[in-house]
Amino acid sequence: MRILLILTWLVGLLFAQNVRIAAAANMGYALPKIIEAFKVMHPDSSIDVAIGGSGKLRTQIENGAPFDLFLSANTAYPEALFQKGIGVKPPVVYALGELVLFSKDGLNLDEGLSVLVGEKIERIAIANPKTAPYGKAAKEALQKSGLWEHVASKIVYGESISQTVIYTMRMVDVGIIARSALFSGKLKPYMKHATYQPVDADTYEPIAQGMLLLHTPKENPDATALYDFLQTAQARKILQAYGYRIP
Amino acid sequence: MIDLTPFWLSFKLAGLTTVILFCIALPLAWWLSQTRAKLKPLLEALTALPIVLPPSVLGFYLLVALAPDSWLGNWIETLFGIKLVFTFSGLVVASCFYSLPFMVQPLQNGFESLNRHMIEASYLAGKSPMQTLLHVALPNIKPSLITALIITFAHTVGEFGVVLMVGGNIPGETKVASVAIYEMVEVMEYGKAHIYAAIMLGLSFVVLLGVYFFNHRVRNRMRGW
Repeated sequence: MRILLILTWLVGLLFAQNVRIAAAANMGYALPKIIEAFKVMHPDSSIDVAIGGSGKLRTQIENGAPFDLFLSANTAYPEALFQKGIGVKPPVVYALGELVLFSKDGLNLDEGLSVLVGEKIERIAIANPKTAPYGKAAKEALQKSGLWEHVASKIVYGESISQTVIYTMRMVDVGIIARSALFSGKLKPYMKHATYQPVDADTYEPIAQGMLLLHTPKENPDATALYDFLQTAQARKILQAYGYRIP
Repeated sequence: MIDLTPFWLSFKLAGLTTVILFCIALPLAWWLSQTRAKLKPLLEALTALPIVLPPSVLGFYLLVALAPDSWLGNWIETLFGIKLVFTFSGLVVASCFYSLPFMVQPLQNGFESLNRHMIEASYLAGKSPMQTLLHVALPNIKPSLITALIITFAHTVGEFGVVLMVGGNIPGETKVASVAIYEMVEVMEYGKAHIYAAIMLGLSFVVLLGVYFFNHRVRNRMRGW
């Protein structure tokens, strides 16, 4: 009898209504803070976050992955999903991301992207332009600055922006990463000698990050509440503190 | 047009890894099969580790160990002048760890199943351990030898997690077939992904079929059928 009770309890746990968020890797730094603030108002809510490249998350959602909210690093992916009839309302831009050039060794970056041509720089990390919006923006910035042909052979590709950040902190000379990463406490150990410089905003399209609500309020009330919360002044303040601009 | 570079890279990686591992694993497997040292279980456990460890564990340690600011990465770079992060050489080193048990274990099993008297006869005839290994032991474990070589090769072709973590996805350098397919799925180029995946499936099957067919024939011949 007792075993049956425990089993029922376990099954109940399994099916308890969580909010499952599929979040682009760049949100890995700010999202915990946002969830913390959300939980103050919704103490009973339980939120699971899957962090990954936007492209991968989009493919998973398109193939039926059980997420409630998709926080992409671009607008193209949530829009494509919505076109296919996935999601309950049109996607909304919740943040604008920016790129920074980062050197763990404290190289002089005052001249911006053009330092990458220098002989001293052997390896440059960017996110994979095919799968990561921050990588696409980085490639665009290099192309618009006329540097792509000169640096293409030096580039290593991170699977997502978070892997690119790891490469940048540990293994390469310079990386082009999300500005939001700079505000993560996890990077503090690497910041001592580091230098960084925003990438000229004229060289790439603003990284407009869209989100898509995947279930109705009836199906998952907490998901809708979080979706709404992300558009409040309180959440936007947190996003700004992590280096995002607000739409 | 299909870009076959990722396949070429995968096979080059697997080929090199197989050759290098054979040179390392042959003496190791021979020693393990002959020794009565107390150290044997320890070495056997160490060798078998890559079978149980998730590739992410291996990838993580390699990432830490091979970074240019780590002492190991530094040491290797100054001593051999080769960079291991984000290079093909790095993948070869990673694969040698990753595939080690697949070379050692079949060889060791083969050696252990050899008739003791045959080995002793070789020693009585005045042959050195080296001669015994090369001229007596090795020719008599052909099925194990072929299994070790082919499975090591195939397992390395199938490598994915480690490469994804320490490779950097560089076309023509570290973008092997398994990673290329992963990327195609991510960007939903299913058409291309199907072609690549089918090539991989076909090749892997042919390789395995070849091994099992060969072993089947050799065993039958040994039994005199």
